[in-house]
Amino acid sequence: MIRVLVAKLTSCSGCLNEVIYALTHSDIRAKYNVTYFTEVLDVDKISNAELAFIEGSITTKHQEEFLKNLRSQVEYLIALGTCALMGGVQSLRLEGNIEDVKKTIYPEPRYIDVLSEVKPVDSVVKVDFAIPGCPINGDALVSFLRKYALGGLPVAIYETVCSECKRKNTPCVIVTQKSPCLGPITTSGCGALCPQFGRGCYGCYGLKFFDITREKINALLDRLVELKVDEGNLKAILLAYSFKLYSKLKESRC
Amino acid sequence: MKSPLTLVEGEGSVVIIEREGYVDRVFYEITEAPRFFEYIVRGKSPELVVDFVSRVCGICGVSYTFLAAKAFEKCLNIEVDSDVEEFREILHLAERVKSHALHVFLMNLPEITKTRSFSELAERNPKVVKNAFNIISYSRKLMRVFGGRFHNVVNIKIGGVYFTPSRDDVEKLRNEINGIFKSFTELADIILSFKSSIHLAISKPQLCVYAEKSYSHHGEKVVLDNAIYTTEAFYRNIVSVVQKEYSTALQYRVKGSESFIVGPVSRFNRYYDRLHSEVKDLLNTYDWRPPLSVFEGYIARIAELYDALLTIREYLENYKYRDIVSVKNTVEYKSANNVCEYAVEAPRGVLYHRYVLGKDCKIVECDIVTPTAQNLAVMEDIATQLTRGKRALEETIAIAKSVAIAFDPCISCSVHTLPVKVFNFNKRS
Repeated sequence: MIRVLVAKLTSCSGCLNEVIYALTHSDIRAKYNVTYFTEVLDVDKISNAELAFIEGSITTKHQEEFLKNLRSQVEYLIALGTCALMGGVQSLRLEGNIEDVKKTIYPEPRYIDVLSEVKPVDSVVKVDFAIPGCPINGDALVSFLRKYALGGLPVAIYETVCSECKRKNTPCVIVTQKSPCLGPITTSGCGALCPQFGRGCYGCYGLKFFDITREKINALLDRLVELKVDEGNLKAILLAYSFKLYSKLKESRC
Repeated sequence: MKSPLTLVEGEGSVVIIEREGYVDRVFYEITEAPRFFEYIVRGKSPELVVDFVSRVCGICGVSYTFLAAKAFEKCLNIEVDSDVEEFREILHLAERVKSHALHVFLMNLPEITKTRSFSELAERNPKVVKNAFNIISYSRKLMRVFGGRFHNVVNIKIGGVYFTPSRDDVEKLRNEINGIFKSFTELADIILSFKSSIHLAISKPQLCVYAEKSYSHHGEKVVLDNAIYTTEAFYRNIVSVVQKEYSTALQYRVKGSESFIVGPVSRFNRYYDRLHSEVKDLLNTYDWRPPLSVFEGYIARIAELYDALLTIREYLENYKYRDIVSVKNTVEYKSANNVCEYAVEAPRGVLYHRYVLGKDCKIVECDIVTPTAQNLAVMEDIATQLTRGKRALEETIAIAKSVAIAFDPCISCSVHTLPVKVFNFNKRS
């Protein structure tokens, strides 16, 4: 049995629910022994394991220490989802000063002990594998677990959502419906979920990190603005789901 | 004295305040880092916010999205076709099935059977696992067909939905549902036969969304015991945020003092009569009827899960495919300093949102009151009531943990909770 730890940092537990979904498969339960997963196991101590799955971004000092300890206990660390990879929707708070952010919500802001930054997991520890998405595609996780148990790994695919639409014969929503769509710059993996329903992609799998440049993003944004889309909304979406990458790429435009 | 909380969503600890080795007070320290959603949505457009808020909670994102859409539709005078509204309600009920199934089977069942985990329970009774996972997997299919995916569904927008599923997809769900009822009945037979080991007569006020004819679901009014309030009156005037002497966690209390209960038990106790007769018959077999105590929340969840599945079956059997074009038109709206508010019964209880829109129709202010934040005060009051004066030993922590699991706190979404300072009155330490 392969020992597995499952933990979360700052996040919504949505990706953890996909781990639970993966465990509904009896062949996966037969090969993996989950030894730490506080949401479903009454165990509060971390012990050595082969794999660890981590959801969420780092927003407290305690989480940073927890993550380093988790990393030291396992051979492979797998980051799950947009929060772990990019920072997540909570990164939008970085638009303001943290002290001001606290004051807008809490009557006693001095008790709120959070970092001024929102850190993706790989900024603190080495990450061996990453599964993108907000939330991740549970079937991708199932596929990973099945292949890993056989001694292999899934083949990494560097594509955008557009490729998934083409493969499914889904007509382009920008061309046919003038629906704003971030598919051309968003990493694949969701199965082109929204375009299938006639809705433009809103980029929740994050920017395709491999070869998306500032110029490519700006070219697409220019086209979308022509469709009367609020540019502020587009930028907020890019920051929300791709903070780590977009905050570095956006300077020339904002 | 402090012990991490397990078998709850999110991260937290039980803190026991001792005086000379005896329990004085119990509270729940929330170590889950805040995500500041009420700040994040400021300056954003309503249509963006509808998707953003689903990220508050990975379990009950439909409640957030549905609620935000309803709040904006009300204040911007956007009418929604009754068929589309019913469709969204079914999606919301599918989420209730998902959340209750995850809670009862993965968290309650190990707790009431005194096993350390669901997998330990599985070794003793593999059929239980098979049935539970059948229901969880079916709830996933429901969410995917009606919402696009299991979490963070992509099918709710201001004014309606983006798509309606094909007849074929709905037919597949319909063909499968009778097998799910079989799995459910076998599991319910086990769960309904358990009696809670903690006996406590409820004397706490109970709050739920007011419903004129149906079971409690969503609306603009709430009912606290027998008093009906608009959401505005309740959350602006009746309930207040207070800080306790030993705790810095924000708590919601009626008129600053009395704690109250939200969640399945409140809904069940008030609207039991409106459950399907099949549900009441099943509960009668095991001698369950209102009022349930908070430690019998698993009974209310089983009842609501069954009731939701019955409503979903009726819907699947009568599903009329609507032309997607008729429901996907973008709604145009203008705003002038509107206040948008609404309440939805999320799986864990009343969820309330209030947004103030500026002249440019962007959000100026936001207030999100989650079920868990509302239950924190009563959780602490009940845990303290059960343990005060007892020796501060492991079994006392176990009681405090049981209180937490009974309330099913979803700490991930407690956007209003604060970390807690620990005051130790134990002179020997």
